[in-house]
Amino acid sequence: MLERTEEFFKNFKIEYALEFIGLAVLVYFVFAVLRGNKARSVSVIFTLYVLVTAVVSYLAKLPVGVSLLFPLVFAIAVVALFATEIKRAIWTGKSKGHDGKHLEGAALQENAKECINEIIKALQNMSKNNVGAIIILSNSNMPTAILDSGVAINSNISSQLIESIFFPKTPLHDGAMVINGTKIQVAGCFLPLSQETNLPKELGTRHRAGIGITETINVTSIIVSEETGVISVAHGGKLKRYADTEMLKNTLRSFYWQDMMN
Amino acid sequence: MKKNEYKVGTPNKILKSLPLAILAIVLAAVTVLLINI
Repeated sequence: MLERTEEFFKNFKIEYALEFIGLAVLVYFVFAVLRGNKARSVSVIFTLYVLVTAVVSYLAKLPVGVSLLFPLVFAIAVVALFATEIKRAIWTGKSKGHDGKHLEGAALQENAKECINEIIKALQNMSKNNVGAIIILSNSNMPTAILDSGVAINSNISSQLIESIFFPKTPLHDGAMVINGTKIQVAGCFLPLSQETNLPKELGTRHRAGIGITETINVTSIIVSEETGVISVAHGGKLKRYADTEMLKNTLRSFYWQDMMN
Repeated sequence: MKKNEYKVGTPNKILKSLPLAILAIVLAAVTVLLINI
């Protein structure tokens, strides 16, 4: 193998340089798309895939053209999978990173109690008045495309602000609000709907969106029904209805003391 | 999304994408070497 490597460098051809540049650009593009959509685990799979296929090509002495097809096929699959997100990034001209945590450790703990109280107060008020709402508790892990579909708020959590955003006929009331740590990060977001067919018929689009987002991303969503005022909590694609104060407190506590600390 | 403040506290773009770029270059170099020798 060493001799062949030596030979490779001695007889270095322009094709090798072109292959290298093309492949590096392709790999970087795939990594960038995956990072922008919080799919880091797929990046690891992609890295292993490229390495394994390269080793297989070396051992089986496959033609260069065939060997280069492997990473290309993966890149095409990524493009197909994230077509909408890529289109959005192209049209907006940039792919922004949203992974800056707003508060760390001690500051987070200090404010968490207050945030929990404010969120519960808002939820109960909205429930009492049959105001529909959907709040996503995220640990900086919401895909960029979803955050981009809303309007940045980046404000401290207060029950008044939450209620104002969800007040009917206001521009942002129909979308989802994303709470990231102790901040209301974005409001008016569009979420993917759950395609589950076994959901009760009385659950509308808001509930489907609340469940849909937790099916693909490790977040918790809290939904207030517009018709009944019932508060529900969704996590891991499962919906728990009729959430009382205790259940909400436990949900928010586990969000602040477990999810945010990881 | 409107101009936002998410950039606060995060390193600048070039520094942020440097690890990915290095990984992409290394991966591409290894692959090109393996498929051509």
